[in-house]
Amino acid sequence: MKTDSGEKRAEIPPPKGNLFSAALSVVLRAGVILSAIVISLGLCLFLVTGKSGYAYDDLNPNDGGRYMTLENTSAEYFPSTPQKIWEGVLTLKPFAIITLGLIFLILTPVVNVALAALMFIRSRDLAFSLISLFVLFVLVFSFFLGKAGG
Amino acid sequence: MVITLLTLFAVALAAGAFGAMAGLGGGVIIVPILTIFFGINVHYAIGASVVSVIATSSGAAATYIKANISNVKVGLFLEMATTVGALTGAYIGVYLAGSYLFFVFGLVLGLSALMMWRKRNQELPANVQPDLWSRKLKLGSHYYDRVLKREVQYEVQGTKPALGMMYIAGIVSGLLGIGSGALKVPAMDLAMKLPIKVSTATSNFMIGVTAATSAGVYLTRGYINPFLAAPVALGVLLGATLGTRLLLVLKDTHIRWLFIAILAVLTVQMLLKAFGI
Repeated sequence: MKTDSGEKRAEIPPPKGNLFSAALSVVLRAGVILSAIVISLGLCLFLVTGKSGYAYDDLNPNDGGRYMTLENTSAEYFPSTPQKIWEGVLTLKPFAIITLGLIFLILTPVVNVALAALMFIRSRDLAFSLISLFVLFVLVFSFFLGKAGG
Repeated sequence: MVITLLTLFAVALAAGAFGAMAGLGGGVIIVPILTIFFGINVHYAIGASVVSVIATSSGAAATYIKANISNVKVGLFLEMATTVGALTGAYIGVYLAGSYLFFVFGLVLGLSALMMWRKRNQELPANVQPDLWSRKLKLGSHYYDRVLKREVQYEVQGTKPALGMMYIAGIVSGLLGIGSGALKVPAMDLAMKLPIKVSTATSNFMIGVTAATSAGVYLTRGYINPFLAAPVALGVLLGATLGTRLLLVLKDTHIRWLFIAILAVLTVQMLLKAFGI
């Protein structure tokens, strides 16, 4: 048996977990499950109809090239702006539904950090309130940096 | 079309299982396969990888956080460096020569593998002296180790060097669309002297946040293609679920060896890519 930094040779049972970690865990799991369901729905719709609902359908799957590699494709091959995604979802376009699911997935860690920030603010932990708010700020900022980069 | 989607799904499944077990996002496996075997444009490969990385880490992180193995405080503290790094990496990614990056990345991975191998027989770190920030922020914690069947108390040191390492990990993550758990785990393992299980679990929690930062940039630039990202993300999710189950019952030393093996393979892979072989 190796020594470790702790002096307590614990006879403690496994921790039941506190509210904080349970909440974070629920957010992560819910976000992942929700996005998986939405992505699967979009993918099934794409497989059943064989149509993406966008210019992607005009590419020939048999010429191997651009269908997979997407070299020299423009933004019209799948929805790229929030407005186009939303319109596509309302008209049940498969690629728009998949994209919505992917956005849910990207937002999962963002919501998680936001929740952590709330928890730290509630428990009056100033240092960690600031730390988690800073991380949250950088996350939100990333959605605007991409646009600025063109 | 169906065959292609199924193949992508199967590849992602394997990558996800390995990713969860080693604290890697699976992106390190996904990006080379998509570019080399499928011939996909590297920007779209990175876009799909970044999303899949979020899926892996979130699935695994949920399990670890609930089991109280992840150190959320350490994770958030280090995220200050990784998110800014990811922003830097994703933004400048387009302007830098890929071969040069792969070369540097190969070197960093090789170094990590070597350092982990040198201290491979140590189950738990000993004589850790917490530094000023660690004491101020109360970063030390404890977790219940299923294999040792007891509560393990641990302290945290080296917060400043860890922040520096994490900034670099963030840049690599943003540039290559990977979770760079391969850099995050050694940073916590070597600089902070955390138990390897805590490093791995905390790394998973962090990877999602880092990858989401990169994903924001890639999404708004139109590099996240549904045709690729959907099967990859779903495959990785399922794989990660299986990998996490396995990790909880394995001994630390086994994880370390597996991790070293994966790092070694990736090193060769990255260097080959760097020289265009």
